[in-house]
Amino acid sequence: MSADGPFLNADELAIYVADDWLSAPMPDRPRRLAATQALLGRADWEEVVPGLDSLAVRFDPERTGPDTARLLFARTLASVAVEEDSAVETFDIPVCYAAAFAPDAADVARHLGLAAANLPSWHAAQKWTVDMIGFQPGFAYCRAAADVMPIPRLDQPRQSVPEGSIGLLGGLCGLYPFAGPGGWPLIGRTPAALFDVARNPPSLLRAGVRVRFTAIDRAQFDRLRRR
Amino acid sequence: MSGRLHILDGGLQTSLQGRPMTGHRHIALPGAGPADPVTLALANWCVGNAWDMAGLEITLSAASFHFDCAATVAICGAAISADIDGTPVDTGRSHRIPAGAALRIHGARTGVRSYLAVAGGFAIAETLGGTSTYLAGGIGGAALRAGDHLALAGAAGPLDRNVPPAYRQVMTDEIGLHCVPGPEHGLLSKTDSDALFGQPFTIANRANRIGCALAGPELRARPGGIASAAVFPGTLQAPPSGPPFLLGIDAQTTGGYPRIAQVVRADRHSMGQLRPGMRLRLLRTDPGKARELLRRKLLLWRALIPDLRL
Repeated sequence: MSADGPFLNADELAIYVADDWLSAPMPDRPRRLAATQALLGRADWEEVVPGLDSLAVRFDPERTGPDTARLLFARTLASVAVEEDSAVETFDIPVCYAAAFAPDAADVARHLGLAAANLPSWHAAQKWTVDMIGFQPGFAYCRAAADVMPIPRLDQPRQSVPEGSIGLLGGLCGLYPFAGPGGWPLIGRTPAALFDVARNPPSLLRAGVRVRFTAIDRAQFDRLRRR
Repeated sequence: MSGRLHILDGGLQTSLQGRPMTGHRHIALPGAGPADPVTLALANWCVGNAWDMAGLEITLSAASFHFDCAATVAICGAAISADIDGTPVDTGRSHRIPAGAALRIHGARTGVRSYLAVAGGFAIAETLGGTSTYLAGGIGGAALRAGDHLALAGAAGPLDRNVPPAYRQVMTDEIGLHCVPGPEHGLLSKTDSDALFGQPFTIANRANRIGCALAGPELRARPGGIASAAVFPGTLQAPPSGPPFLLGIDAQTTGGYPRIAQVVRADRHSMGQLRPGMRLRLLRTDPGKARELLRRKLLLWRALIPDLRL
């Protein structure tokens, strides 16, 4: 038991603690995002990692023991004010839905009960919010305001998904900043630089921001890509 | 005057690794850095560098380099032999390389990674607060190949430093790593939990900076997936089928498989030497004991390398 006090509240009891990181369940997105920002601003934590329904921090066990870390974490959470959702920034992401960039569009449209030709307008009409960044640097998991029929993962993951690919999986939409293996069915590609080490911050998107997809044609894609 | 190191043969995988790019996991950037930071620190100590100065991480196979200026260098880690223009030299100590000479680091028979430190280090820019290479994203550089070259920052004077016997890292084919139970460990049956911490695993053929699969005791009751959540180097995941997977230094920052164990901070540097075929025991501990283990280990290491952190 910690020297700071013998009583733990319900929130603290649900916290998992390893020797240099801890994690708490946090399904409420506005609370998770506000807590992430608060924790990123403090020197106690080496890393802050929001998940889809949880929030983790890593600490230096030379400075902070597991019990102290739990209490510091719980105290920051207790002091977090949850922001009004309306204050959130919106990013416009151009997407080319050309067939060459959308090898799985027909399958995805079928799952959603749409005609394939209507998939781009459906995708662009949804109000998306970034739930978390994971999988690759800057890879945004976006959730639509309306429920989306879950799309299954590809049976065989692709060995190389091109950079900028946009996929749908489960009820989420994901954006690939880097080429690499991947199992999300693909419906388009963006020319936007999703991750750039020369930029501060390097990731274009972050958890909590809104995303609006706008359709562009192949010529516009090529022009934007060259920039 | 500063010169260059030319890569003649990068072998299986050679990359620059130094200070990790810490503090970016919320945008899913693993920090990279040396898979075995203690061994890089030893190589740096031999040539009088700061403990976390970037050096070359060399993987398993032989690799060779040409120096177009004189330099003081040291090789520490899995490789136990090397030569300068064909003359055998010891690892674990500093050497003066004459201008125009070639350094060849021989393949490792046990362990995986060796580190080449050059006195004064390399003239490289920081990326996102670190001096390391995240290979999967090409962030901070890329794997080094024949024809590549690196500018040397310019050398400190000659040194003659030999790693004291007590600090020589002996590579073996069997290793124990202390672990705390992971967040989803409770989803395992008692039998599976006992097997996890009681029976040895073997490192499977798939082993790199991303991680390695563990062959061994069959875990029978397999919990389903979880909503993507934080993972770290040393997190042991249990996918629904196939062997458990131990995440390495370059693993992604979040994952959807149950996290059944976590290698503690004090022992994670040893994961950099996990080689296919090695036997691995997971030794159960708790966060408090793990902290004590770290304290004791650092006390020992800091007698040689005062600034070392893990």
